[in-house]
Amino acid sequence: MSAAAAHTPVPEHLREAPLIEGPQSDRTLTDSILHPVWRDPGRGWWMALAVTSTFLGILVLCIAYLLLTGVGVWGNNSPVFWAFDIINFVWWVGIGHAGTLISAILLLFQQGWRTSINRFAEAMTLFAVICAAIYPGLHTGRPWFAAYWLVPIPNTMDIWPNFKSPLVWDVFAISTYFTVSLLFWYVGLIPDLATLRDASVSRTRRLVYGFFSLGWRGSARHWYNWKWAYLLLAGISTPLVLSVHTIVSFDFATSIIPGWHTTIFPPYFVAGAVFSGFAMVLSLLIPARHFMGLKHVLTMRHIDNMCKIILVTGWMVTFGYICEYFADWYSGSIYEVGQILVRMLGPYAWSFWLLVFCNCIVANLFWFRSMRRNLWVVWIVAALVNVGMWLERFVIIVVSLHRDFMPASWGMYYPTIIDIGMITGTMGLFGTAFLVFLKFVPAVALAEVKELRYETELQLQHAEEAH
Amino acid sequence: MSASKPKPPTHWILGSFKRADKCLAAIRALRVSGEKENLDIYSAYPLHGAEAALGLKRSKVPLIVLCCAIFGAFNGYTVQTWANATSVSSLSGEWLGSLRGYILDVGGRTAHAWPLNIPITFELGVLISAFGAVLGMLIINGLPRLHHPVFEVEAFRSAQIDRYWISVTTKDDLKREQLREQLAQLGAEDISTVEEGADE
Amino acid sequence: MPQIDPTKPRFWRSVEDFTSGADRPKAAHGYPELVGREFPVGATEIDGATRRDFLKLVGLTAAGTMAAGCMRNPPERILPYVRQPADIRPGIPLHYATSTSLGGYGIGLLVTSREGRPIKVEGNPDHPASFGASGTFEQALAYGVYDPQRGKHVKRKGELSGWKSFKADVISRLEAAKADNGKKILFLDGPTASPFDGWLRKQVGKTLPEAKFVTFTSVDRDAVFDGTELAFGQRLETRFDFDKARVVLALDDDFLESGPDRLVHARDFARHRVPAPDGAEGAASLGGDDAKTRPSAGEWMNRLYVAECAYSVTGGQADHRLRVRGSDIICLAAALYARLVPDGAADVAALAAPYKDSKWVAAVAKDLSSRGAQAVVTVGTRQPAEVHALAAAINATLKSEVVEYGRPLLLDTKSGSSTLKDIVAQANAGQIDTLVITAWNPVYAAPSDIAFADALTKIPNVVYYGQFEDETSVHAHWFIPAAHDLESWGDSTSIDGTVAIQQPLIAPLFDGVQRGELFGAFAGMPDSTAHELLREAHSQTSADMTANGGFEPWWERVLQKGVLSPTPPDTITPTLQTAKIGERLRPFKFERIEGIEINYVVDNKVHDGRYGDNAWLQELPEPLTKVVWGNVGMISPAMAEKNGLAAEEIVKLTVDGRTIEVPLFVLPGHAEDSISLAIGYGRTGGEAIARGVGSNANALRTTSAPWFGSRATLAKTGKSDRLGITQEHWAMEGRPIALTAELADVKRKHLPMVEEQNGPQPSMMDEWPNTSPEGYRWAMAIDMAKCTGCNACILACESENNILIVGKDQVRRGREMHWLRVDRYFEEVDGSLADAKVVVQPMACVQCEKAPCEYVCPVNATVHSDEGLNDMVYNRCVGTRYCANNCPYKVRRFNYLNWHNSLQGTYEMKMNPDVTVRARGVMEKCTYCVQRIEQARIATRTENHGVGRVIRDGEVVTACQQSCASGAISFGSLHDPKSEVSKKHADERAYAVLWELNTRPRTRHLAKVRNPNPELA
Repeated sequence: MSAAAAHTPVPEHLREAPLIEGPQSDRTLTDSILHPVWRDPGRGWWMALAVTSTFLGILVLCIAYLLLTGVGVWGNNSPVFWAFDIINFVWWVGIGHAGTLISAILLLFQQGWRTSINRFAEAMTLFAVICAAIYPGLHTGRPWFAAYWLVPIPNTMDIWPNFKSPLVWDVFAISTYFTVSLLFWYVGLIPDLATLRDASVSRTRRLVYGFFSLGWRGSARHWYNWKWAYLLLAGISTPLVLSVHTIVSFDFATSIIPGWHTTIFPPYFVAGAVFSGFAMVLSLLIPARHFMGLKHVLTMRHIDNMCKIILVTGWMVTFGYICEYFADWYSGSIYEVGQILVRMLGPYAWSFWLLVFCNCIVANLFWFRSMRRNLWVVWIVAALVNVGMWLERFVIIVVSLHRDFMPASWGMYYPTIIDIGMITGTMGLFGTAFLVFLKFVPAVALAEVKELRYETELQLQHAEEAH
Repeated sequence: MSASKPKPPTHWILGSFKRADKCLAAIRALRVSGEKENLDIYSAYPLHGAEAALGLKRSKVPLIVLCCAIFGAFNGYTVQTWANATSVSSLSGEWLGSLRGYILDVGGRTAHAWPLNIPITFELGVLISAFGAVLGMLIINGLPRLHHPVFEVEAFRSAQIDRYWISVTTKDDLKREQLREQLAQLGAEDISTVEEGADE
Repeated sequence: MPQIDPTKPRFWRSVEDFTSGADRPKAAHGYPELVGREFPVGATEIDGATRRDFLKLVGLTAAGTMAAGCMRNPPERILPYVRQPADIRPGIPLHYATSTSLGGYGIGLLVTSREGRPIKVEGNPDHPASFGASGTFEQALAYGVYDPQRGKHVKRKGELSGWKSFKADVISRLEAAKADNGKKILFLDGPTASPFDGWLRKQVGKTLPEAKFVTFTSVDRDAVFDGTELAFGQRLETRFDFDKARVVLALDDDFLESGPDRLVHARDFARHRVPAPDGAEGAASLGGDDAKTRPSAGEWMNRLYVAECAYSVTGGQADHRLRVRGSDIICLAAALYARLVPDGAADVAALAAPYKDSKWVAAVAKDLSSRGAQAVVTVGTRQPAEVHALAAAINATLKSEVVEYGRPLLLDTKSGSSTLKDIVAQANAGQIDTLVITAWNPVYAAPSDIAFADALTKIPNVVYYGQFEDETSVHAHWFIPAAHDLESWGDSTSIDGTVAIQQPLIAPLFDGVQRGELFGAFAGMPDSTAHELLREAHSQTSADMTANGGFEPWWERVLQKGVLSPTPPDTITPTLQTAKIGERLRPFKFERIEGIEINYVVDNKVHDGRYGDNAWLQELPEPLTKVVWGNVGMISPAMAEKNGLAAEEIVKLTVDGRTIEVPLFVLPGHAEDSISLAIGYGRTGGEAIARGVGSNANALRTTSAPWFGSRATLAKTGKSDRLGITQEHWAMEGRPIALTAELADVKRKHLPMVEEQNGPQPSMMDEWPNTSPEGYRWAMAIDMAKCTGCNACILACESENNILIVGKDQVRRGREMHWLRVDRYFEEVDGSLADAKVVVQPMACVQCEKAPCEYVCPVNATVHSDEGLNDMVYNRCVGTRYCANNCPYKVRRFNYLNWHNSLQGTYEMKMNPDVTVRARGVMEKCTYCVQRIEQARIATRTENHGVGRVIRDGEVVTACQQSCASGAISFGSLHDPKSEVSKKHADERAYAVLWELNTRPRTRHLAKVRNPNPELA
């Protein structure tokens, strides 16, 4: 805060809320943030784990059945050769994007408020990408071959992958994205692991955390290189996260199917990804901060900011739709125009209008401060946004395919129980992974929060000295 | 030093501070009194002005990352072009032959369609440089190193929690006591010394 | 108890030993079920459940013969069609000429045999009725011969017995019958024109002078003969030469798709379905001898009028189609008769009344008379004799050259339900001791008002000789498994009088008994083989034989060519007796059936039901409805609306007290107040595949109204059945997909639509060089003007390329595997579907030069060959299905499940060794029959002492092209400007489907041409 600001006190409701609430010292922060790790997780956690792992089990069964029987256990058919498999893939990847965005882009923009949510969001990214990565592998007819024929390994068939195919780009994009996110997350985690090591009372924990902290001593020399590495990772993650969903969107944009063949896809896929990603962060963070007593570091201001981002990206997505449909109409191609009409009036029109409601209308509640402050509203809106983004992919993939060029080959698509089992199953996987993460690792980047506290303290000192 | 003489033990003198500014002040004082490379600060988060106080040289990490990025991108592009847009018939034999790239008529598209090679080129550049950043950082920091003299001091645990520690090393037994006093004067608490490589 | 090892052929030989003794094995591996009547466990699931279930059944039953089947060559000497060593060289296909019969009339076949296994059926180019082409039924024989559901055991009262015991039984009965000259022995046969059968009957007559032979089929041609009898006073064979026809009126006659010479009809009609005789056309219609190209006065293209109830394949070709109920046809005919036949008006005044002032009739009559000798009226066999007589009179008055008459070829020209009536009467009177049934399944096929099954119980000894243990075999004392046409010696006569020899391609897989041997047994020659009998039957034949230096050389020649030297068909020019017609018709009053009239049609797939167990045919989309696996009640859109009925809704269909349930299908162009239902479904016999598919129309049919003429009531059931439909959307949505043009416009070269879909497309990328050494650029042209949508090509493709069936449930999910599909679009006429026009468009992979499927494949599994083929590399495919998504023609097919994993035993023998059987998770599609291209390449490369030569135009014939009777499909290389396909591509009607996408398809379609009558426009 500038000195001028101190002279004429700004009214309360306009003053920027603090990012760390209450009088906090490094000790209190350490205790409060590490508390969830030390304490016995409690009944709620176990019950939640029971639920999620049940769905995880369902996923495992579905996958086994799929591998034994064939892709035919899904509802995919001709002409709808891609359906839930690719929808879920794109949806999960999109969700992942928020994590990287928060940790990388906001870091580059030096947004202080990122600090206490980035760990959380990055973990979400990892788990989301894992869920996503399940689909492209399994949706192929012969996954056991797809696993390695898609990468350029010299083979007896003397055939290389076709690098002109966006699917190969996917393979590289997704694997890179996962690896980089993992590295980024782990690098950020090392100092906290060291803290866990030194704050832990039991020997085993000390050994385990000590092992994973790689013997971090917090030496200034370590910190110096660490900061460079972290900054550079953020630097390369930023274009990376933009590239990943761009490349995913190429799967559709490079094809010739009406409704896929659209140049607007890359930007609006990315916007959509951020949109759904932040929604997912919110819908996880709101319960988490409550049950884990982290309200003092995951403050209303964080939530407020994320709501604003959802509002903005929501409008970006809406703009994307408008551009797309305008282009379709303006092209004058009967196939493109036909595609618009099918989406709006065809047998799957419900999905289109529901998506418009979820993605374009609901988020506008966040114009109002009161709504952004009402956690129930925020949570419901976030959930709806995720539904809407799933539907967007449904409309793009299924609805575009079910009626393309030749009316004779038009058909309908109906999901099977296995389709349902697999999407709920991946949610189970996601939830399980998340619960385990909350139990064993500080959900808030401790070192960074301390640094933030220290900086704000310094700022205050300077402000006083200014008088 | 020559290998003939037995290696003298290194003494690690450690002291902790409650406040960061005190800690930094102490470092500056020690540097004035001629200690240089043998100084270090330990804190639970990157301490502003620490590298200035210690006078650290520019980090090597950015350079490593740059090289990795170029290397990765170059490889990415070459592999694609080699596989889809070249045809070297000279390669032959059991497994050299399988390295042969060749041109296929894929939907009548130009064999060497460079715009289509950009995505993978980029991704590989990013991937390799990410590894460069992390591994580079660890190597320069000499990590992983699970044990270190400073861990001998039980109180040093607080370095990762809420204290700021200073370490000074010396091989000179006489200097050791002097440094301890100096630290004490600078307001360091629970000062302690560890001998590295003494008991061998 | 003896444990049976079903893989041991020995077991099958010793059935009798096995059954002696009470200890029949338990269902250790489901074996007794297989033998016993109760076999098809779960067979009824067939329409609902996955096809894999029934393929399991297939495998199960087949298991017995798999080991045995593989290399069983007929013991007798049979000779390859082309000069090749008779002993089999692995990898070299042999072609044998043989023949088959349907409805008594023969069609010559040329069967490809690999390593002793018949795998592909084509028409015999030397046989006038098939001239190298073939229809769905012929193609499907290749499945039928391996059908593991076929009867495998001679059975007595359901118990396993054997051929030996049967013969013993026959001998004893013959002894007994000597007394009354076999007066109480009756043979119920299907209609046949085979000389061999005639000879056999004579032989039987020698031992049993008073034994009677009668024939029955539920799709008889009696009306044709009765009609000529009425019109000319004699029963005559009626033949049409559509090559001479320019104006055709088909009264309820599907002459392009049904009847003994449907293939010839299709060819000749198609020749004149185009604006002008195109040079390529001669070659296109296989074996289309140019002698047929007579100079014909005036217009080359013909005009077709059709009056019918439900849309037929022929109806789809009509330039003007009048939708009328079956019972109205007679009035229509009468109205024309009144106008065309001098002083005929008075006789038919009453009948003609409804159509007296019809504009349509007036215009047609005018057109017919203006064309005179080149005009013809044809009538379907569903119509009564009177209509045939009227038509005959009209044709005679027109002096039509198109129609010609000859003496009947069938041994028996009465094979309608009256036969069964007599049998029932005699049986009840106890006049029959032994009834030998060789007709197909009369118990099922009998009209509902003939209690044939009950009559059988009154006959002491009923012998049923059939391929399957079906509804009839239950009531028979003896069941004799029949050998398949491809397993038997015999002969046939086609409608033009050509006699063709039938020689076996493989020894009976299931120890079926050959027809000749069965009758031989009754003729007192129980031990002579069918081969010997056939040779003896033909040993009498003289003139030609002596010319060829005796029997043996002549016989060898006959076997090679498959046909006896054709004797010119004797044509009769009868004299018309209008008086008689008038006499008969004057009393006729037309009383219209109130409410809904039921209308039975012969099914394009299972015929009268005899092909019900043929999964290929079951999964073939019905040409107009595109429904697979079952029959539907077809009603008009207006009727559906009026009665609040919807497609796929199951209704109770009641005809004078008898009721069946049937799902509805709303078919544009269907006559009002009338529901059409295909016969041949709702089987309850032992065939696992046929059983329970569709609903049984025979349960409603009566002798008085076999095809139409009785009133039906529809009642909602509230139930509905999701039909298996391969094309759910009928409209073209105003997209330039299947183009049509009117003759006038084609003539003045005014084809804007076609031009839009034509011409070069700019490309940013430099063109890919043609690196083929010989410069081949394979391409195809499909002339939609000629295509009738008869489906023969689909089965030919299925048979050639080892395409697998998936079953109704998977078709419902849109996973059918046919590489070649025939799209059928309805075109609204002035905004209504009531009189919708039909256009059919065969669509397989069009082998785009800039294929959208290729660049998206991540593993290079589909790439372009240097000859322009869009190759599919099965073993490289990982099944991302991206290619299929990006295919604008949606012609790619994906193995969602392991369609072939339960293919075992006999069905494995059917597989074409030149074509990979695709695994689960692999994409597949039309390859332009690349294996045939390669065969031609190998053949030509080895010529000139290994120097080789270029493949000439017409040397590579794709399976679809080969089967197509109307010559709608041309294939060849574009590098030769004189090639047929090059010419077709240059045709002004040629266009590229979805041209604007710049996919540059190598398959061009030629716009359909319509030739409407200006007066009706």
